[in-house]
Amino acid sequence: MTDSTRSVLASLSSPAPTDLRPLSRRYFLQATAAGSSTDGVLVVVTMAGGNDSINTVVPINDSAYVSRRSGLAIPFASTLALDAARGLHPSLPTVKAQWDLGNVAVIEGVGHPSPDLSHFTSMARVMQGSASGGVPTPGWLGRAGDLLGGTDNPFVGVHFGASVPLVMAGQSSQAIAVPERPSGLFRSTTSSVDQRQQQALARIGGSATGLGVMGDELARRGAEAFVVANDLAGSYAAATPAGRLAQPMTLAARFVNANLGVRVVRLLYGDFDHHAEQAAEHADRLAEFDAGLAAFLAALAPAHHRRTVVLTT
Amino acid sequence: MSHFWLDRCRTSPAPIVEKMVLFWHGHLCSSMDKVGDHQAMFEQNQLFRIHGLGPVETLLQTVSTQAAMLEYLDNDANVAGRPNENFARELMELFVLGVGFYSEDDERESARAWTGHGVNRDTGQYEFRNDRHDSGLKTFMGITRNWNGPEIITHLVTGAPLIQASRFLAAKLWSYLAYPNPGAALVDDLASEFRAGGMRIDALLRAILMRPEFLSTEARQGLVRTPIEFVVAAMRHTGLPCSEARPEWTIEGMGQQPYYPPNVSGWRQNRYWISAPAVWAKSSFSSRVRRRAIEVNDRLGDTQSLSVNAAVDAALGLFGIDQPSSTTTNSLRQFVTEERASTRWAEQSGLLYLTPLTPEFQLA
Repeated sequence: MTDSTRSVLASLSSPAPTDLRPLSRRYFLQATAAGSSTDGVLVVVTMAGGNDSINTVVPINDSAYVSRRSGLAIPFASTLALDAARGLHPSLPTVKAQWDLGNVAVIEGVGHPSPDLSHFTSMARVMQGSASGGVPTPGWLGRAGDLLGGTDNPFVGVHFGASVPLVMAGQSSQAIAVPERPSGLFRSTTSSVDQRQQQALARIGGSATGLGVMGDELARRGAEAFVVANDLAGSYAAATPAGRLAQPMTLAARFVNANLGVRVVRLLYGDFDHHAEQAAEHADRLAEFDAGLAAFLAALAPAHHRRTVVLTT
Repeated sequence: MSHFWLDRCRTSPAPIVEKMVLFWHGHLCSSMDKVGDHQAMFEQNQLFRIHGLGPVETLLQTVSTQAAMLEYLDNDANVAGRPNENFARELMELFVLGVGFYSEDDERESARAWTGHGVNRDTGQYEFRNDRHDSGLKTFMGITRNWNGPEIITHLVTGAPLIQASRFLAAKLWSYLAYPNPGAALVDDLASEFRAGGMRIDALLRAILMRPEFLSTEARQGLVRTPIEFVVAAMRHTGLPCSEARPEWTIEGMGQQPYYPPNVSGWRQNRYWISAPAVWAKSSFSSRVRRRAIEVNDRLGDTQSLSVNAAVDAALGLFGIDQPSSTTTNSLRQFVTEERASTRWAEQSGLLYLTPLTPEFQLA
């Protein structure tokens, strides 16, 4: 926990709080961000089920591509040309526009050297960020969180979903999982009863419990979690554009704008595992991705453009 | 399937049996995520109930020749000429001995011994196929013979590695029941009682429960309840079954799903369970429990006729907290005082919501 959060909790444990506005670190301490506004931010869109990369970045002068893909080959003329050899799937105009601005890099042919045809093993290695497998280690985004946030930044890693996935579980850092829609603690308004309940927990977390190291940590983190939720709730207040990816991508941009110290955001998006209707399904998924990217860029404050990288895998 | 188990934890006349089921589920891991077969996972859960307190060899032999484990650690793909060492490695590294007490050669030779122990595709049951078994000579821990898989287990828990096996398991069970990282002298004592009791797990358990250190402050404050223990305790104290409390809606957010350990080394402890998302999930679970508790059986009852202190004591007592910290007691008293000065109606539901979220209740 940061000193600022600790002092928030200390101030909350004073005997008679009279102001019942939602607890918020920023409210109490006037924007003391955990991260500097120049630190890089990585937004990872994991394409669940596995994106068809060769139909995303099409080799437009390769006759082998046409013969091997036959009916599923993207007509060269319809692609959005990147250069003489490669064209983007036609559903990706925003990516193309960003390419033209020099903001896009394409890394092709990424894999691991000894695939054993087990989907389970391959996923484990991808998430681990290791070609060797072996004893489970924190996932690659968890290691990134350890490196970037340590134990001091409760916002270092943010995942949209029901629980923190293994890929983001660090050793010293802890990522958080947040919903795509404002619900529960992430509604921007809380009742006065809710606030008094949170203050009761903040009082418990604000001083030593006499319950040992774990008891103190449970109390402290228990209070801090509501501060974290209230800090995030502001980003949920305004409407978000429709679209399956546009919604969480807009929220992701707002989290970055809010300068809370967010360093890694992960979205799991799909399904790219098409057993039928591949051409149409894939085009739809990529169009949704493109719209999501457009929404992200629209929502991201200009000051944060140069520090933010969106990565798809 | 998770209702079956969690309701059983809640209502069992012998909760220690279910506590040991959870221990073995996190130690001899298999996950639904990979196994993908409810029947096999259910059978493994039952197996931990039947054998979880008996001779450790019986437990290890049974779990190793059952579909869930064979599939989870790929021994169903371990065949002569094309060995898969996954199970053979974890058996020694994570289940019985720990790193450093066997060689890579032992691992390879054990894998050869385990070839042919797989799963029948039609019945989904364990099957030994001699035609897939490597019946050549293997040198395992210095002994050359035609080892077969189950003989490896017998050797690990009765042969030369016995002392290390008893230490490894004693330390792990102590960490699960009392506090992590017990000292070497304590582990040695427990291990020798474990061996004296014929490597029966109930003998080890008895040795642990009889230790004075088990009643120490360090032990009482040493462990954070796992999410499974947390939801079971909340349901037990409020008298709500799973069908009312719906732990499956929130337990994943707390970081633990029954039948889905995160990997073969199982769930970690303590700080692993303390995070903002876990708090949010516990808060959401507690909200659900307080609503249903009031509607279904109202064990706490209306506290407004009580004094402030008695109202708080009633809530703490309902959840089995007999030694609350003054910080917690004072905070809850202040909450009740504030409610009585304003809404009034939220006092009872507020106490039902807050008490499970106190550090006292979240400690094991």
